[in-house]
Amino acid sequence: MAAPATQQIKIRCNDEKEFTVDRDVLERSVLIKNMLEDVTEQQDAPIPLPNVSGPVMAKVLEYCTHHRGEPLPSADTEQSQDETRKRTTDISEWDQKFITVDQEMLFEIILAANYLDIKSLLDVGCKTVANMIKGKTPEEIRKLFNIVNDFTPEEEAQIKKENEWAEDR
Amino acid sequence: MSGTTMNPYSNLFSFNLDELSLEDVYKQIDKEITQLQERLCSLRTFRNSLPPISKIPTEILSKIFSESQEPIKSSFLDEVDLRSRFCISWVCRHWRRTALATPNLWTIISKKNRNSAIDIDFAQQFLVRSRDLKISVNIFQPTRDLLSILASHMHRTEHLRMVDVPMTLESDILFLHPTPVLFSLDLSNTHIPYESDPEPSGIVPQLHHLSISAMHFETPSPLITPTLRSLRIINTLDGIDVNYLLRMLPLLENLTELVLVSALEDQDVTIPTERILLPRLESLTLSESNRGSVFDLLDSLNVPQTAITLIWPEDFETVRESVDDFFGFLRAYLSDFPFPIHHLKIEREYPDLTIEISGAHSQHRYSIQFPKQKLSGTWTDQFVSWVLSLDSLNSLETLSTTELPERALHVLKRLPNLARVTLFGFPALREFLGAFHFEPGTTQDTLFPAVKELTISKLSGSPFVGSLLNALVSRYEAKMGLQRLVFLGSPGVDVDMFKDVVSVISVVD
Repeated sequence: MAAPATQQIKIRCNDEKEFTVDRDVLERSVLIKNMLEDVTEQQDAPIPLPNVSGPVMAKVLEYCTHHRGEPLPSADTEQSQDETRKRTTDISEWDQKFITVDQEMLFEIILAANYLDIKSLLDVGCKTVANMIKGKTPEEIRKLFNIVNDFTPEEEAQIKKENEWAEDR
Repeated sequence: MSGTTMNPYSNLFSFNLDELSLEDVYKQIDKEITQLQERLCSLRTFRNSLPPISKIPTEILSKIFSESQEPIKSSFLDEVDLRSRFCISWVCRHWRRTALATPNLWTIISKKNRNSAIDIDFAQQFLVRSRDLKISVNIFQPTRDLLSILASHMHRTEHLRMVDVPMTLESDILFLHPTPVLFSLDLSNTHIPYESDPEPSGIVPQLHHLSISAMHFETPSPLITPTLRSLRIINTLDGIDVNYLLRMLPLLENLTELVLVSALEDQDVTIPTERILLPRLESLTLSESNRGSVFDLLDSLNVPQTAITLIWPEDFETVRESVDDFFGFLRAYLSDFPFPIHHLKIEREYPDLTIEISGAHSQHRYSIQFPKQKLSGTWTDQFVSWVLSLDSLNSLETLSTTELPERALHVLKRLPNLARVTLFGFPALREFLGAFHFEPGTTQDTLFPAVKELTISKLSGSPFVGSLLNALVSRYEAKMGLQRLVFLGSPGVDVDMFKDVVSVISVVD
């Protein structure tokens, strides 16, 4: 007996790029899952995703396909302080390889994960950026992200005071 | 000089020196500098809105900041890198605003440097920024003002470590408030014992770790609670009532660590009819200053699979009035040692000498740690020789040492179970080899017959290493039944020279 056919869903990105994807893959996104649950009738029209471009969506779908079938995080996404403390910045090998992209794509993926409500992907993105920040001086962080020091002299004075205090501890 | 002067650095204004006083000119220039600085800052802020990371919403940036911090462990409060938390807020204005609004970054109020008190302004900033999250506090020599501020946050204090509370202050002020989330409490004085008694006004329902050192600790205390996993009472002023402890211990069934160092006065102990079972206890540390109470307590406990450590009393110096007194005391101390000694570690790092002996009896592992003693070379020789001459060392299986005085060698050679020896440094190996006085017909007598594994550590720095190793090869070729030879941190050793005399050779950097 043939396995039941998986429902295929069509999505359209903001650059008109369209993807046809298995429903269970797309349902890694809580946003799309809720959309699909709200639609009772079969629809042929693609789901519009105005905040995601085609290349970014391709990466997101790569992630969702790899992690399809894994249990979704519970609806209660608010983490307690204790849970936050236990959290580590360890990222699985596959995820690490997946997220090894240029900065522009990295932040686009984070934005897309946030918009599409894919918590695990958002976590991977945030942990990656957190790991980039860890152990770096403010100047190194600025250089890394192409940021400049825009503090006023008054703010600089306050920072200097904090710096002395932190050094002294 | 008269007329209008154009400022070459600015096209924003011009001035007439004849009409303005010099003070006014300064004011005008300062004003323009401020305007230019503001303009520069604005331009830089605008520039910062362009890189890819600036697209990240504030709440996600805040999440990233939280992720970038190492998790807190109470016992490692000293090691928390506060600077990394600050660093994030020093990158740019947007990051600073975001960091200051991220409560997770500000939950640790810690001051490690004992020479300067914690800045109250900073403490207050941390308390505000951390909002209602649980906080961890690690402070030295707190002022009354600081204690007053912290007191009103005790309801959300999870870890509290306080060292050297000045005697004129009352740390009790903290405990006037409920402590519903207090998980670990560590109060100690490093100089003058503090007479105040930490006594919370109510229950401490979450307390898992309690450590009281060099303070008064009155019992009964609500801090001795069934939730405790670790209880450490060290050098309290009047000791602790052993009978109270014996009554409470059956309730502390979650205890995994119990440390009572110089906390037991000589007391009339009522030994319970049934031994108290502490099923989860992994580590029991007792000091030997009041031996009667210690052994009474040991007799009262049923602590399966517990490592028991007995610590040499801190008032050792008062005993050591003369060499003979010292050795007499030591001998008396060790001669009725209640278990066979299996492991001996002697480590000399001039002028300190550390001795640890351990063994197992029944199901228990025991160890005795002697505080580091500053002893001269002659003292060390005698000390080591005395330790090695104890009857209870007959069971010795492993020896790890930096010292091998000649007197000790004669003892070691007789030990039938000494299978593993670790020698630290060139002198120890030289002394070890010195034991092999090859005289025809006497070689069997002078060897270490039981040693199967020899580890040589930190063998470098002497031009005679090569000849010593040659001597080692020739000795082992002659008679020894060595099975394994390990070189630790000894670069440049030619291990090939041993391949014919020992089957397993390991080299570890």
